[in-house]
Amino acid sequence: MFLYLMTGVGLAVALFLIFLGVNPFPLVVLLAMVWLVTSLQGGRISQGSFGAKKAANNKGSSTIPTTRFEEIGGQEHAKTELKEALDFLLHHERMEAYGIRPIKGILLAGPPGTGKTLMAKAAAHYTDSVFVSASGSEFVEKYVGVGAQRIRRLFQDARKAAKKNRKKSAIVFIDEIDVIGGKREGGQQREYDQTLNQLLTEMDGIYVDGDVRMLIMAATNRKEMLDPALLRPGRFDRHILVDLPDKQARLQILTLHARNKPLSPDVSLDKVAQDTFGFSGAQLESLTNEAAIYALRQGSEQLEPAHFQAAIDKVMMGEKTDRKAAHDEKLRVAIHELGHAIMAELVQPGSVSSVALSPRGQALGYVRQHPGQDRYLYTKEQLEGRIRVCLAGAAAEQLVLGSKSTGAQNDYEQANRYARGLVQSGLSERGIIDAELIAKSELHETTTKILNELQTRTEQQLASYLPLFEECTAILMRKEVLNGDEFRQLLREKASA
Amino acid sequence: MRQAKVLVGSLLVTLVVLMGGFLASQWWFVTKPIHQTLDQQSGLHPAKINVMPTEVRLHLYINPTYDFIQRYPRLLDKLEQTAGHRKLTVVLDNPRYPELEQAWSDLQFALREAVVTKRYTLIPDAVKQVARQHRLTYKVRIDERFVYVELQQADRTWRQVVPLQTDRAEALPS
Repeated sequence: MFLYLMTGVGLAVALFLIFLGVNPFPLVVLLAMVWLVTSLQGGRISQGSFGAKKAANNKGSSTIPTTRFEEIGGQEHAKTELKEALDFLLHHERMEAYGIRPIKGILLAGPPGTGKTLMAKAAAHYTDSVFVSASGSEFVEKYVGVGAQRIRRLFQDARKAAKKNRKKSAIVFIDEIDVIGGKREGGQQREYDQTLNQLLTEMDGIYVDGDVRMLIMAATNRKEMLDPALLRPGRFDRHILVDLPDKQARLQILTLHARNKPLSPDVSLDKVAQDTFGFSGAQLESLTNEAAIYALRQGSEQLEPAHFQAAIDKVMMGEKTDRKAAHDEKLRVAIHELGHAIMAELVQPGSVSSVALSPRGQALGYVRQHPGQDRYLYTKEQLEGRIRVCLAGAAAEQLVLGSKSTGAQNDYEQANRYARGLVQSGLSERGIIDAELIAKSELHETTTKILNELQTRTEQQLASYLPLFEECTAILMRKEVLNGDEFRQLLREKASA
Repeated sequence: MRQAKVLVGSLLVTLVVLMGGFLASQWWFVTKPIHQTLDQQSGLHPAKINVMPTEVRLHLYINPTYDFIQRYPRLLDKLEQTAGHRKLTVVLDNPRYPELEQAWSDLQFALREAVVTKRYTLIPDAVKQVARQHRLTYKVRIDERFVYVELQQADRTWRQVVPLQTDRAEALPS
């Protein structure tokens, strides 16, 4: 809008100069050059796309987000901790009576998509504060001093927006703060240092406005990379971990996102939550959305369990690809996946969620397992079981077809990771070791020994299931996707036969 | 749509402000002082004053009783000071008297020739000859820039200012 206003003024001035008999061309060229340089230096600021600018320009209560803590699924611990910290802002008179120094900043740390931005917005709603946000990358510019200038402007705009909206507090939220708040080292650029210094100055409260209380919130998924000056008390006083949701939280998030979607009575969100271990809030939101898209594509009036299963596969593995495999290649993939699936059922009965022969992402086929319950610790037997599941694909190929293929490369990488985990956790024959002092060759020797032993065990176990492969492979090649229950049923039928 | 309104609105408002300011300043610093100068001169009436960014154009009506030859050169200097950097153009609105008009017409050839050839001493003789021919009285004056000519018959007068530099036209014949 400012641009249009200035264009009108510029045109009028040019017309007036023509009336005065002055040639306006040099002036127009000069103004165009000034505009060009300004827009190159701080285009985002001048055009109003900067978060703070937007907030300052917004009218009424639109700068106060409407997101409430109740609308954020899971993260109960983080919410409680955040609310406690925010109470310092709400009940500042009581805090003053006790001589408590107000909190300057809250750092939200956690993996991507866990709802850190939502938490910050909810915090602004909870404290009835003006919310001004910017991403760390918005402060990065090749011109020295521009980032620092933007920090200053961000804080100025937050104060202005609070006064304009007649609010007593403002929350400045900086997403991806690690971009500007990384550890300062000798080799780092001066521009980054200036930006960070300006942020520290603002946080120190040198430019204090008595009317508006400022709280700085920041989000990062690489907390360990932040400069210690940012993390000391008086800067970011509270560090809140916003972690991946557990099963209960996943169910809560799924329930929230499924609220406005027509669910079939057959859909068990509890089962979906069980199948989505390791999913973030954003991925769960994407999952419900994808399930609804599948239902729409199929013309189904309600979201069925199959739509959720397809959506989980899509979010986890990527979109289906059009790669057409030759018959012998498809057969090999089917045998490979059956090997994984049979071994998974042997290691942890009831853990297979689906066996698919349809190519997704980089995979030609896949077996999706759920852990049963969220697990954060593993025993030696459990890790060995996982290694056996990884090795079972290639082992099945060897048993049935008499040769292995390159399809097992990823499986071996994963098996090696588990084997290294076993050694480094002191669960191997080497006992407790210092991973930094042990030679790589020795580590490799131990892991290879573990893998070879487990490979032999896997082949022996699968050999007893060899008669099943022929029939199961034919069914899988025909149907392409078998869900966990279908697979277990098939396994039972063929085993009893 | 809103952007177009903002653009047009800002254009119009700026134009109004700039033009208003310009016209007001012209009136205050040029038109008003010219009026004041002319008011101090009895026998002169400004018929029209046009103030433009680069030029001031003034139409003057002069009474027959006005001592043109003595007072007008000084008046011209004052008006030029007031006009400042703008070019001053004074148009003398002489009433149409056929006989005086004819005399001026007869005089112009000799007058222009004297100016172009810079033989200024020929001017008084040329004026005298035409005045005698048409039975008129006359006055003539020259300074660094102009030749001032006044032809008179009873209470009828014809005044003209001819620039000595042929590319200048501060005073134009009516």
